[in-house]
Amino acid sequence: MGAQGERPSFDLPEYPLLHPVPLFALATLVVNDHVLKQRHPGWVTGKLSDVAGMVFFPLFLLAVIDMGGRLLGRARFRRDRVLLMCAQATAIVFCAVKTWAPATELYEWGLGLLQWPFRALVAILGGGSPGAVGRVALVQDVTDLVAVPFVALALLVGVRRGPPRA
Amino acid sequence: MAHGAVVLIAAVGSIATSPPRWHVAATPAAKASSGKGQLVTIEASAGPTVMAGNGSIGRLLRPEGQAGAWTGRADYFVPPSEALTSVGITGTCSGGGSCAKCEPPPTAFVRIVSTVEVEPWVLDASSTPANIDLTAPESRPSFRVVVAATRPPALAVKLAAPMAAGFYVSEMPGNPYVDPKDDPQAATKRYAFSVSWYRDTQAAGPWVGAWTPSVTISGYCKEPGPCVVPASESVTILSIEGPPGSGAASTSPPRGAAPAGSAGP
Repeated sequence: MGAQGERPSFDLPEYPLLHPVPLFALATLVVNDHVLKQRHPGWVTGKLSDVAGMVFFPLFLLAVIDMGGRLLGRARFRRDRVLLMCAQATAIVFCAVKTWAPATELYEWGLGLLQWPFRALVAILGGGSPGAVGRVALVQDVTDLVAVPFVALALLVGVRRGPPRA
Repeated sequence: MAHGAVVLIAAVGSIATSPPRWHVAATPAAKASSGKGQLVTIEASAGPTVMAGNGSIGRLLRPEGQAGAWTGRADYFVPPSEALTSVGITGTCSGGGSCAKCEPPPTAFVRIVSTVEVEPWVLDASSTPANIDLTAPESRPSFRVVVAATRPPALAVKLAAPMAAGFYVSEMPGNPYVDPKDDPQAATKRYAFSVSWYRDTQAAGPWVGAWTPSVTISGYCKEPGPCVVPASESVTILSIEGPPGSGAASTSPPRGAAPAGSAGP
């Protein structure tokens, strides 16, 4: 540790998305969305994906920004601040799409647009037509906001106490 | 390498997180003759979303005399000033975000069985004007209008004089609701609307003015003969809550200052 009086700093692991907690959250999201929700629809499976998303999504955003920074050859930025912004953005957008109709509609069409290339490709490979862009379904439910505090888990995973700065 | 793979899986997992939605629609009927309402009978495999509007403001129509689960068929009343804009049912495809094409199930259907012109009655009410000041470029004043009515009302906004301003009207979630002071068994329920104003940045003013909300309920007469507003129907603007200086109440308890409703044609 550093000399007395120096302020401890916080550093991030190189690849926080590889921590067991976000990996488990990502696996939970995929299994819950594609298997559990169909077999056991209800309150628990309805909230599980929200909680998992709040845990892994800020770290995913950070990973994308990291990769973009490396590709562009940019100098290292304050990753702890970026992670905090990613966590805040995740929480704010989640609250908006769950409570505000225009944001819900924007999300439904936006995600439908992102899903469309995959569907079009599969349809074309199957000999069909690509079809039009459709919207996805999102349940607007204020009680889903119970998932928001779990965004703190992403911060706990991402930020670890490191050596003091010089 | 492992990190890149996890990022890729996370990206696909995030995109595929919500299941796609299918939609089946019926072609809305043309607008009724001047001064007439429409009674539209709709059959569908699930409760349909039926929208009507007058060009600028659309609203959800509720089935006549049907409050519980969808029975497969219902009548919808379209007021004389409005036309049916959309009729449809939606559902989700299982397997959230799978790449398979999302098609409606073969059992899904919605159709307009009949459209009959009917004699309407209209009951409306308005309130005292409220002031808006959009002098500050960032100002976006928002008002909450609370209405007591025996059936879902439509809210309209009238400016006292032309202004360089626009507005959004939206129904607040949870309509209709019962205020703790109200009798829960009463036919009159409360409906809350939000009216949000914004400044027209392309214009040079004026930025200050006044507006008046007016609400309308309407229905139709089932029996031939003169069509009058049933005595059991009522609509009243209970309160307008807005920013200080707007002339509207700025506290949440609603006021009872409501002009009497008047019967329209």
